[in-house]
Amino acid sequence: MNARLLPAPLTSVMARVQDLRESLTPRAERAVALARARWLFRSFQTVGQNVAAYGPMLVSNEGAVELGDRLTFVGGMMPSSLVCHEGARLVIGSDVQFNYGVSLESWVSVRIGARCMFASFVRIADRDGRTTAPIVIEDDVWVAHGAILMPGVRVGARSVVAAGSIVTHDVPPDTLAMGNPARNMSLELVSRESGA
Amino acid sequence: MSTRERIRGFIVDTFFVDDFSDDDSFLRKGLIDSTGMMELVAFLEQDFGIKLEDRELVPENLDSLSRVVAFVEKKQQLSRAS
Repeated sequence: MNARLLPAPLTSVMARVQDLRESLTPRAERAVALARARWLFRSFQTVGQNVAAYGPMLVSNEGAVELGDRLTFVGGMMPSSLVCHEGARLVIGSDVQFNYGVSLESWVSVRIGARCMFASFVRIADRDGRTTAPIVIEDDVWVAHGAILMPGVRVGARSVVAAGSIVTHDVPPDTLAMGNPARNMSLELVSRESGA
Repeated sequence: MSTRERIRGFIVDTFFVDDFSDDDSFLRKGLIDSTGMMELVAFLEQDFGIKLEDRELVPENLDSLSRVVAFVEKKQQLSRAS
């Protein structure tokens, strides 16, 4: 056997194995995420198609939970949690994405529209020890890292909640909510593409 | 110091920009980002003793130095009148 010829085929084989692994790993992870979501959300009244959970989650349902299609719960350093108490409703529209560490808790009603995005460590709960009031998040809303939505707020369509904001009042559509307590400013004032 | 000079001074000192004209859009020229806009609003409220409503935080009022000056002067007149 010629020792000088060996390295070339071996490296090319290794490269092909590596390529194969890289092409298959996402599909395997996707399959696991879909299966995990089925198991985690087995107590929910409605679960749409292609709901995926890429990491561990804390799930508790004593009320009524409805999940839309194509939801993604990203895994990471902290599990996300979905809690729906007795007699409460938690409704999530289609194509919504959640990063890790998101905490959703419903005592009466939390409604989330379609195509929303929730960054890591967002907290949404409709009871805070003093008040209990339903929360509504309309379509295409983006809530950035660490924001907290207080009971009774309504976030309008296409609005953005800035990182770390505490939202205590309603946010109109096409608005940026920022600060503690959050103030609302027109998205046209701060985004280069209107509504982007 | 005039209103215009005070506001321009704040923008120059806070956002490290000085090459802009009175009518340049803060947004399109990339002079002030969203957090900066919040700082500008807080500065206007503190230094000029006015209160900005959320619905007033729109480009027509705040997206260039001349617009901000006109807006602040209008608000001051209104608060003096009432």
